Order: sequence, then C-alpha cells, then structure tokens
Amino acid sequence: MGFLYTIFAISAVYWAKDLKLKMNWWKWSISAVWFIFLSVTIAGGFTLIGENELRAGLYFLGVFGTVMIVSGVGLIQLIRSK
Amino acid sequence: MAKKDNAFDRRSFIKTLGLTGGILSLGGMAGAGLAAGKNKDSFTGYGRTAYGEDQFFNRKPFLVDKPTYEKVSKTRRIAYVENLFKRNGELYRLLYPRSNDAQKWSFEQGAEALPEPLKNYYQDNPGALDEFKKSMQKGREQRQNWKKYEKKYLLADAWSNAHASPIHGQGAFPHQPEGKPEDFDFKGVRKERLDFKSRKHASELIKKISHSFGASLVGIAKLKEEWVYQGYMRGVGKTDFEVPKHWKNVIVIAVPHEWDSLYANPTYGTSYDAYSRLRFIAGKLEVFIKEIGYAARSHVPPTSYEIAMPPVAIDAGLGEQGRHGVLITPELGANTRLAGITTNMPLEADKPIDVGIKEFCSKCKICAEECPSGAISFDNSPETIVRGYKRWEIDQDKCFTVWNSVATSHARGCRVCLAVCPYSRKNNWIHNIAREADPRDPTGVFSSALLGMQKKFFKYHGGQEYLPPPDGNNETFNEAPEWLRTEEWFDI
Amino acid sequence: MRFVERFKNQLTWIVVTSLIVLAVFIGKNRSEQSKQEIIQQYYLESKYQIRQVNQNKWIIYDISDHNENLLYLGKAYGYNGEVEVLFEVDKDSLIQKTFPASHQETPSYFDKIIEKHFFEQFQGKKVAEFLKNKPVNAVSGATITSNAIIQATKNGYAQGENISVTETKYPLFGMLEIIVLYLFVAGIVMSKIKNQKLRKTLRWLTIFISLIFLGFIYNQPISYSRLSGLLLGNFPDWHKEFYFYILFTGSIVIIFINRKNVYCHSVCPFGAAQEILAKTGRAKVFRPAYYKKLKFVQRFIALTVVLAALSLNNPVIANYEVFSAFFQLTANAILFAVLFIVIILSLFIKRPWCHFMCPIDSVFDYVKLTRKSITGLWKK
Repeated sequence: MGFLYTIFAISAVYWAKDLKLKMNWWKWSISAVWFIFLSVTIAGGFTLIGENELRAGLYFLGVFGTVMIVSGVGLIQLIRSK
Repeated sequence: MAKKDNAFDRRSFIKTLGLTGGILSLGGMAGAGLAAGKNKDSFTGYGRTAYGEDQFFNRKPFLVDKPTYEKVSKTRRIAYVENLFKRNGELYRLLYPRSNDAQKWSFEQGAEALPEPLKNYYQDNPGALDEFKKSMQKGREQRQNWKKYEKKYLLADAWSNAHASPIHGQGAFPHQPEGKPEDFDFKGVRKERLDFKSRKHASELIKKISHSFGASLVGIAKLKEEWVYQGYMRGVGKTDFEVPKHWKNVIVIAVPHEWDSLYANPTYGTSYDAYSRLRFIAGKLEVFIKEIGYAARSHVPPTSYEIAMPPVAIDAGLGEQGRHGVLITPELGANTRLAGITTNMPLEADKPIDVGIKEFCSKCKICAEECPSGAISFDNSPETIVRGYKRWEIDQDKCFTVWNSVATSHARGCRVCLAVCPYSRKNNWIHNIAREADPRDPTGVFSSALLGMQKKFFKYHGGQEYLPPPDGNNETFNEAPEWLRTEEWFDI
Repeated sequence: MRFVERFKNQLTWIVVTSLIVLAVFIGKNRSEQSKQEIIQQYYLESKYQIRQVNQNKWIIYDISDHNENLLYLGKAYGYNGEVEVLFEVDKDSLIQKTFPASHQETPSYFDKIIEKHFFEQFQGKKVAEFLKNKPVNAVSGATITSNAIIQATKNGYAQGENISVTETKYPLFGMLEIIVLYLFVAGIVMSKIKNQKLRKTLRWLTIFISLIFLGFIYNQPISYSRLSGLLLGNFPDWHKEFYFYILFTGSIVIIFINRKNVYCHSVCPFGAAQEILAKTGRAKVFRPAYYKKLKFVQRFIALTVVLAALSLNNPVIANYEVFSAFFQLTANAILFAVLFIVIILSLFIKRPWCHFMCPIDSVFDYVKLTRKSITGLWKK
C-alpha cells in the first residue's frame, strides 16, 4: 500500500506538469490532506460495513463522500485559479 | 530522437502507473477498512487474549479522587427486598409453596396481606405488585410464544443453555457458601500467610493472575459498606448482619458478552456466556487467594451476591454509571458484566475515573428510547435520589416484565440497552479514535458530533419492535450472526 | 392585440387559481372518518362498550374485567395540519394508553415519533399534569409534531372536562424570529449598498446565518406541504410559530412592493447551500435554448402535486423537497439520490434546484404573476 501511495504521489507531479497546473507548496499540502481525508473516509465507511453495520457504513460514505467530492471540486478550482 | 521518445514513454508510464496506483490505494483503503471491521481480533475479550495490551484504555489521564456519582443525602445499605429477584422469589413462594401447603397469599389480598418486609416495600411502591402480576401473565404467554418461534431461535437457545449449564444445580462452580462467612471464607486458606512485598505488589499480581484466568478488565476497591445488601447472607439465610471485618477489599472482574450475539439481543443473545466465564474466573481467584493465605469469597451472577457490583466497579475505576443503570467502561461500553471477590488481602485500591460518560448520557437517551418496557428514565440529568445518591432510576419491575415478554424459551433477560449503547463498541480504529478523543474534548462538540452521526447513520427500531407480535416484530438491533441462525445450518 | 395575447397573464392566473380553489373544495368535502369509527378501530365492539359523554370524552367499559376507563380526544396543529390524539385515563387519573387518531404529518417524522417510543412516555402520567406543564419529552428532530401531540392531550382533557386553561405565554419573538427578520432585512438592504466589499461581506454573512440557523439548527425553510396545509385551512399557532408568518407574508409582501424575491435570494437556507456550492465549483449560469420548456416542467409538476395534495386533503403528498434530507438526513432513498444529484450539479451550474426543481420557486412565480396581472390591468 505504501508503494501504491508513493508512485501515486510521484505521478501526481508529472500530471501537474503536463496539465500545466501552477503548483506550489501549499497547494501540494492541501491536496495531500484532501487525499488523506478521502482515504480515511473510505476506510471508515468500509470498516463500518465490515462490522456488519451496512446502513451506517453507507450513510457514512454518502455524507462524507459527498463532502469529499464537493471539496475536491473546490480544490480543483483553487489549484486552477492562483 | 530515440532518447526523447524513451523519456516520453517513461513519463507516461509513470503517470498511468501512478494514477492506477492512486485508485488502487483507495480500493486498498476500502479493503483494509472491511478487514478491520470484520476482524475478530476486535472482539475485545474474545478475539484478543486477556493479555491483549492494546485492548486497554489508558485511564491515567482521567483518574480522579472521588467517583463521579453524586451523594446528596444520608445513605444506607441496600435492603434485600430492593433486589427484584429476591422479592419476586418470595412472592412466588407465597403463591406457589412447595409441597402440599396451601397458597399463602393471593393478588386479591393486596400488599396489606403480605408479610414484612415485602409489605412495606409494596406499599411504598404501588404499581410494582401489579407489574409483577403482569410479568407472570406475560411469562405464561412467553411459553406459548416459544412454541411458535422455537425453530427460528433454537440454535441460539441451545447455545445459551450450554453456557448456562455450569451455573445451576449441585455441581455449580463456585460452590455456594455454607455457614457463616467468618467460617466459610477462611475454609481452605493456607495456614501460613504469604506476606506481599507491598500492597502494590499484591494488586499487580492479583491483576495478572485474574487476566490469566480470563478476565478482560480487573479493578480493585476498598469495600464501602453501603454497597453491601442487608437482610440476606448466602450460607446463613435471611438475617441482618454487620459487614464482616474480613471483607476489606474487593477485586472486581469484568468480561463482555460475545459481541455479535450481543447486538442481536433479545432473541439471539444471552447473559449466560458472560456469567459462566465470570463464575469460573471468580471461583478460581477465590481458590488462588486462599492458596496464598488470605480469606476470599466470590460474588457471582446470576444471583449469588452480597454486594452490588456496579458501584464497587465505579470505585475501582473501571468505568462510570450510565443512564441505564449499568456500568459503562471505555473498553467494553455497557457490554460489561461484573463479578467480585471480597478478601482481607492488603491491596492498593485503584482510583476512580471521569471520562465524561454522564455528560454523554445526558444528551444521548438512546437506551431510554430503545428499551422495550420504557423502564429507563428520560431525565436530562440524574435527578432521582436513591439511598442518598443521585442517579437515573430504572423501573426494575417493568424491565422484568419484558424479560417475560420477549421470544426466548424462558425469562432470561433482554439486554437491548446494552446492545444499543453507543459505548458498546468493538476494538477497531474508528471506535478507538472516538474513545480517545471524546473525553479529551472539553467543549463537548466532538461528542455531540459523534452522537449526531450515531443517531442519523444507525437504524434504531424503537422499543416496541423488540417484542414479539402483535406488539412488535421480534426485531434485533443488528442482524444475528450466521452461526446462530438455525436456518443456516439445519433443515427446519 | 388579440384578447388572449393582451390578457395572457390574467388568463393564466385565473386558470391556475381556479384549479387550486377547486382542489381545495374537493379536499375539504372529503368525508372524514367519524370519530366513532376511529374509536371503534381501537376498541372493538366485541370487547368494549363505548358511551359518548361529550365531543371530547367517552366512557370505555371493558367487558372482560368490568373496568371502566375514560377516553379523551384532543386536537392540535402540527406541522402540516391537525393532529388528533386519543388517550385512555384510568380511575386514578393516570394515562393508560395514548395513540394517534389522525394526522397529516410527514411520514418520516411521524414514524420517528412512533419509533422513539413517544406515546409510551404518556403511560402512567397524571393527566392533569398536562394542563400546566410538559411531563413528556419531545422527540428530537420531530419537535413540532411531538409538541402538537402534547398540546392535543392538553386540549382533549381540558375540553372533555370543561376546564378552562390559560395558554402559557410564549414569547412571540424568539431566536428564530429574530434570525428570520435579520435575513429579510439584510436581503432588502443588500441591493441598496454601493460599496462592493461591504455588500459582499453582508451577503456571505447572510448566507452563513441562513444555512446554519434556519437550515441545520432549526430546519425551517418554507415547505410545500405546509403551504398546502395553509390552503386547506390548517394555520399553525402564531404564538408558537410566528416566524412562519413572517417568512410567508414577508416574502409575498416584498414581491408585491419590490418585485424582488427576497426569500429565495437571501433567506432560504437551501438557496444559501447552493450559493456556497456554486462558489466552490465556480458554477456558471445555465440558460440553454430550452430554458422555457424546463421552467414549464417545473411549474407543471409543482401545480400537479399541490392539486393532488389539496384534493386528497393530504398535504404530506406535496413534500417532495430535499430540504429534510439535507438538513436532517431524514428522507427516503429517492430523495437522497435527488439530493446527491442536486449537490453535484450545484457545483457546475448556479442554483439548479432553485431554477429548475423547487416548487417554492414556482409558488413565488405565481405571486409574481398575480402582481403582473394586477398591474397589467391598468396599463392600457
């Protein structure tokens, strides 16, 4: 898993260059934090499902997943603008 | 030209690999989450061995000098008729005496015709006698209902009866005391006492030994007299007694119920799994303590107690009292079943803790909403004064009526309040975050957020639904585990 | 100009209004189950003998155990309409059983009350206590319906026993009223401000207050089911819910005076939510060629639904908004799915719910139409 995250991070640099995104240190930090939150949201929702709490897990994913999607779009706009 | 192509290929390779990696890592998170949720190691007290270090909540930051229950007036010991099983037992014997004696009392005669101390109790608590009558009626219905639902719950009932088998009858362990505690508690004690290097040594050793016998949580407290029942002593009979001098300290042990069956109460769960484990641990500790030269007496479920366990456990720093009247511990929540050993061994007592359970219970009220009998108080703060202490009072008689109403083979408990309590959670990362963060937040915002999620994300059926038709639908909080569902394994 | 062209607005208004009036007429004339029938549902003739004492009181005689109890019927206004409650009282004046006789509340809220054991709380309470205070706890997340049931109990007993009760003085102006007033005032004032920075700050402050207070904490946007209830004559107690009257009349009055829909723009909490989403995603205005057709669909659905709700005397049917799903996570699966789509769309186009789906938008369009019809009459 660590390996997956590492090559994802490395490729992100290349993606940013190719998409001509003007990145700087705080944009990278916020993006990293966002991705961590996304990972935790998914892990949390599925932990609940694994615990046999299907309804709770789905609600969790629904609410926090939507928050992540919205903040993700916001993040993209933020990166693109400045 | 070739070099540039190569660089370009490598770049796009990394990009695709990285993107796939990113997506896979999220999938991995989902898988890891599922695994964490299903992991049997998270079944505190069952999956992990009793030695499992990371199942224990670090109580150090939350130790306080005085327990969190509030004393507001003079207190006294608990009269044995205030114990529902004792007084129900007496009423039952009046209604249905052994051998060929005539019935000594009937409901029509009312509370006035009862012998003391029952008469006093029922005159002070009108409604309790009617509730007992109702519970007997419901018990008859329960036996009829069992014929209807037997096939469905047969497997769970067999499992429960198996757990119950070492508890009843002549061969029960630990043996019921015979004679006075001044004699019985010293029977078999090694003649030469082994003196501990210090009280601290004594406490540490006893805890390690208790864990080795299978206890999930252990705590030690000085015995407060007000927690000792008055009016009945095992081995002697109905008699008032002074608290024996050699009942100095209490070793409190706790085990949880099996988790998946707990969540499927009242029909698939049982009390006997925890009860039989506790009896073995306490009985063995009793012998062990005697082996090293000290007097010991076990106080074990279902009814072999002279002390009320939850307040002693609070003194021992295991947890705090919840709205539903039972002990809530950080590790096990309300899924904490207790037993105790009174001894004269010099021990260092543990300090009580404050982890904000009272504040949480004030906001939560889920157990009150889910209780099938409505026996749990909805008061915002602990208002009722019982024997000098402020607490949320529960209606014992209404609770017992539900024991006689649910679709089990006989009245062996309900336990819905234990199952729905938000503190009753297994040992995995998300619940641990909640456990650790909640008491450290002075504003209470975190616990309110957690409670909001608890109420919105989880389905609560509502008290009535746990009863059999026509009042309810034999609901359970969670679906029963497949290993307890008869239809999964048998041709029925 | 041809007649129809000249009076297009007025004719549309007449058609829509007539349909609504007709639906109300049909709805109000639906035969209501008589009280006797309702009681007999709960107290079977084979087991009980029922004798009526007055409009709100019956004597229930249990044939099997010769027990005689009293039965009371009480009414009070809930969220969408009247809530009727039956409760049985024994010889010691303790309530034995309480159950709903009829109601028009939104199912997910009423189900919550049943699930949360609300009616069980009444058991064993002295009925006279209800005259003075609230001996039971309202279900959180369904307080209006809970309080209506409590009020109905009080009313039933008071009317059954001919006791006159002084209503507790509710302060007319509570936190909610102040917030609603602020939102209206801010909305009106905002357009007058010249200073861009000040205007922007005020706007975002208003959005924030609307979303948090009117939205998440109180969950009281104008709802279509409540409006339908109003049309059927179900007026909420203006002592307890004054804010609703401010919201409703305020919006209409301002449209008549100013032509501006201040409610949708500044007050509505879900509108506020969409503004925030629009800013997050840099949403663009969506005005395709077929815009008029989309508006027609929106208004058509709004009209059809309200006509159904009115003619069936069941305001609950009109409840197809996503507000409860968003602010309280209380809704069925379909509404959650719709909410999700609306949220995603709101990131890319401005206020998709408001412009293309919201029935309240259509309601205010109707108000604007009324205004235009009136002013158009004297433009020769």
